[in-house]
Amino acid sequence: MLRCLFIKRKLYDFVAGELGLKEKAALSRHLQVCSGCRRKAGELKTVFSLAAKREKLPLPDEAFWGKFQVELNKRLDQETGAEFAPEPEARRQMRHSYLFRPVLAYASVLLLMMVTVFSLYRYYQPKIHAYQDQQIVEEVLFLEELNGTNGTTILPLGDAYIQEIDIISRYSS
Amino acid sequence: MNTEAAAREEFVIQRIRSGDRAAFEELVTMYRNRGLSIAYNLVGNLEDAKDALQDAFIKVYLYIEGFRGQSKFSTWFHRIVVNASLDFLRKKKRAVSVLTESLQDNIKEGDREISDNSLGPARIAGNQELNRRLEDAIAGLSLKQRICFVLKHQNGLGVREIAEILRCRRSTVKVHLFRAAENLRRKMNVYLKE
Ligand SMILES: [Zn+2]
Repeated sequence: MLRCLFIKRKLYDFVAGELGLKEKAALSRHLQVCSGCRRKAGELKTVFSLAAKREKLPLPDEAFWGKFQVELNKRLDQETGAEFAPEPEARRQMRHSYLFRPVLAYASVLLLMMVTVFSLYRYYQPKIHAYQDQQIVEEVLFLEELNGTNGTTILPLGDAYIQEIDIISRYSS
Repeated sequence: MNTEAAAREEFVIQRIRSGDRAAFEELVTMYRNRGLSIAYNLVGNLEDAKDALQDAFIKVYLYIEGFRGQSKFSTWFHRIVVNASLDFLRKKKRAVSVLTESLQDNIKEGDREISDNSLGPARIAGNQELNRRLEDAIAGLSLKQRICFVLKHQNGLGVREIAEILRCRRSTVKVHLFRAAENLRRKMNVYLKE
């Protein structure tokens, strides 16, 4: 039946509850007289409800999330090269004390030296850049795959993701 | 999200920008459940979902400057979780293909046995079996169809947000959703008949 072929496309919206009142009524009328479409609608409904139930698995408890956070902190330390520890009370007080100020001056000189050494180190480590470039290329490839294009037409300029990639490349250059 | 929660989120994001790890932990607590749920629905088990979600949170921390507030933070975050989950699947697929090459013959033999034994609606008992069938059917969808279907029907995201996450038109998302549903219905209808 030609009408069924036309309706097939609307059946998804009907079962997903995304039709306007008028279309909904027209489809309901058709389903009352057409067992084929009625069966399809029933099958779709079952598929949707099975899929929706799957998400409602019991969510992990605090112990899981505690372990998750510890692992995440460890990985972040590796990524950023920093040790994460809550700031001790003594240091917090010291920061505001008068005695601490000259220390700040020394620290900034030291920091400047470290930054210089680090940039020299980075300069002689082209592998890091190559790895990060590879990652960016892979992400862009993923987007192309998703869009089914060469990635230049659908992604508009000024797009936040482009900016995100921008930032990655800025920090790796 | 009410205005108070939105203000708190904005504050927390500002703190993360200045490298505040305690603020980052707060953000993790705010978003971990929905992040895990999306990752789980894409990668298929809790252990892998946990790893993919950690990858995603690390990206959030490292690239928080990339979030300019042009979309909702949740959308930006969901996009990173989807990316991290797919990255994870890709890496795993590579590892698995190396591992299984030597076992190829055994696996083929095993597969045939399983399908021969389990085909036909008469042998299927209960919802659990149906769920497993649906898992397999979802896994067999194309990448685009699977992502759209999972985000909409398993994570309850709207078409508009999915379009923002995937950076495509809403009509494109709807086409993928329709095709995914039609494919699943066809694959499942053998088991749905009673
Ligand atoms: Zn019909």
